[in-house]
Amino acid sequence: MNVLENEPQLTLEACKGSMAAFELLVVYYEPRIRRMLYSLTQDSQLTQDLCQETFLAAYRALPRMNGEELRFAPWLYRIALNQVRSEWRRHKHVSVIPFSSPPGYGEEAFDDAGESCLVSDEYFEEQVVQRDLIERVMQQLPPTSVMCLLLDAEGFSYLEIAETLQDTLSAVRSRLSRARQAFQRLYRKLEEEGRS
Amino acid sequence: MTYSDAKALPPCEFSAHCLRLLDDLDAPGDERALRQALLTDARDMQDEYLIEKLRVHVPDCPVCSAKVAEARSVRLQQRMALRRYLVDADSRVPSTSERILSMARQTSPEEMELPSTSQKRQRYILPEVFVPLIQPEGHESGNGRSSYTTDQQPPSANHAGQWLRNGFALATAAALIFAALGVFNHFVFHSSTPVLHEEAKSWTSVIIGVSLLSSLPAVSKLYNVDTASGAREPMTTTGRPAEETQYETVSPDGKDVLYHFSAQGQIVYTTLQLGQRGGYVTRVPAGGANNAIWMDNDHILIAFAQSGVEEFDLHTGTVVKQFASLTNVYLLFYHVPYLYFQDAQQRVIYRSNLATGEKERLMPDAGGLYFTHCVLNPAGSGIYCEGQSDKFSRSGSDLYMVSGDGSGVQALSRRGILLGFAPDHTLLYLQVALNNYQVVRLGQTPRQDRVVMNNAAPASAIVEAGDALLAPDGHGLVVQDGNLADSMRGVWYDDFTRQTSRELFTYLPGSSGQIVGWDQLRVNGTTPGSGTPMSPLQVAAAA
Repeated sequence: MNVLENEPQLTLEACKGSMAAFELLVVYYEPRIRRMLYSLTQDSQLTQDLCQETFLAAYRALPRMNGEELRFAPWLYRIALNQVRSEWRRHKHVSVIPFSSPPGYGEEAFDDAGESCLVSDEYFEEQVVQRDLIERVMQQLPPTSVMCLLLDAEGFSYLEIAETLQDTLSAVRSRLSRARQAFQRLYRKLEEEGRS
Repeated sequence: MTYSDAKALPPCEFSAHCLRLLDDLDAPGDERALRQALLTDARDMQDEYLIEKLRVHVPDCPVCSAKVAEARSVRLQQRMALRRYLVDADSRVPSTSERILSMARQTSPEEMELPSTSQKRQRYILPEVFVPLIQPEGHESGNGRSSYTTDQQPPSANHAGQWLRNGFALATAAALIFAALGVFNHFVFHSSTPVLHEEAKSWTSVIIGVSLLSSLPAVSKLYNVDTASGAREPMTTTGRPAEETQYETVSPDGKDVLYHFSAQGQIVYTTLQLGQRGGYVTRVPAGGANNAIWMDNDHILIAFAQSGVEEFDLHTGTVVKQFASLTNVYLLFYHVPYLYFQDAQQRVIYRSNLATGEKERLMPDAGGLYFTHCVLNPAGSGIYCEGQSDKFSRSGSDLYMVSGDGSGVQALSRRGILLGFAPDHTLLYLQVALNNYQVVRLGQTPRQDRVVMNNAAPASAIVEAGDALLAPDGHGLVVQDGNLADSMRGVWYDDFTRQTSRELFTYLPGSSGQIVGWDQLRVNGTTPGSGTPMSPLQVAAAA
């Protein structure tokens, strides 16, 4: 992921209590964290709350971190994604299972499909610009797959995704590969349904 | 070559790997070097070997070349689409930067500062196996076990990063060892000298739902953990998809667990005992039910979104009674003859006499507040709730009390997490006070509150409702570290009688857990009131 210039130095200073350094990190990362959270929750108010909680949790934890070793972006995203998971768990009775997978729409449904899911067609680029369609696809994918796809879109490397999701590289590879296939197939299916 | 050309070619055994390892094939050299330097997982190492093999294979294989080219194109299109999707999200939510910075600048250290490194408990990663490698300063030698006391000196702050890094690597190695043993074992134990209680307690273990998020798919399993020894055993032989499984609560007698999971587009409600026999209570369409609670040991209540609340008999699997007027509610608790519940928005509390059908409103809509966690006192005469504004931080909640008959609502002028009730039926709550968590007994006024235990969760930067569960007999507390910024999260048991606190285990990175409830099911190898500690290897062998 492209990081803020002098990010290691800023992280180090923020760990030592520099409010100025923390401010620069907030200014740079707040929009990124906010859009990630909104993409996962589709709730403006909740996004604002979780975004605030994420940065305050980081602010509280920074003095305890080793600034020389801390990789700020994966760490911050990890806090944010854990906030989302925690929120889902906390309010499980309100929206029973966020991003639930209807029958046949989960990742496992794509195991048998294999590589054929990756068939692209010349109309794909036009289709993908339709935001609502993407949103519907995302809502039908397992949450961790959505997180993988979004982190990948943000420019995270496998290593950074693995660090953020506290996963192994191997698991991230498989998850991301399957998520891409699932995304493609769901998108095409929904798009076809929309046409008919 | 076009994709249609590739489809006409015979399949290649490497094609599937090409797609899975696509990003690695395209990774720049410096990133590959970094990745290889950090590898600790055997599967990652196998992948690295495969990547090198593919680098040689792909250019000479027309099938793989075409597949890779096509996959790159799709990947690019998806990334662009998702990138636009993310950028679009930017404009849909107002910035919170000012609010964050304002709070950071204005909040006093007492409110913001969390338990510091110097107060954190030591974590021991499989001590019997790894002590020589990771022994921290101040760690006692000998049998590799250690028990935490609140005045013990932890590792120095300078070693924290090294400690975590070593911990991560060793935890990963530990996971491999346990995986090799064929054990779904993603706890990292801290085996301690057992605490002997003067009197046998009936509630001595807790049920915890552990989710291994790093597996494909993420899997969740129930474990029973003995609080005296830390010994634990799985309660289910197979795991369920973690993202589709929700654990509700433990039965009043502490011998069963109510939970639900999704399958084939439906939500299946069942209990541990029923599930082990392949049975279930009912199946409902996804989104058709809000939640379920135990009515007594033989009956449960399920709140359906449309058809109201239904009472099920677990022995016959039949609906005993239907309360059709209670639609779209969230069930809180049942105390004969009243069912307490909230509206789905959690803003108003009601109760209904299930014998007569009479419904009362107990707590009025309090403007911007919603009540996310409530407890009913044992006599059924008072409800205590955490009230939270939906506009401000949820890290602390104001406490409220409403009389069971709805005759009065009172703001208690305290903030914290409701725990439950002491043996004398007084309310216990968890509050943050100057760098640590205290268990406090509610007095008539804040000045009359009494601290039951200090340092109830010294390592937890954030403890939320649901992460702290009081034993039904009030003798102790199990707390889960909710520090989301910390990659190594632990679970502790606080014994109020002994004033001792001990770490039961630590979650490995990539796993998390839900404390479902206290139970009266004995963990094998333990006896009431005593703890027979098992080493991780003993536990693994037993499993």
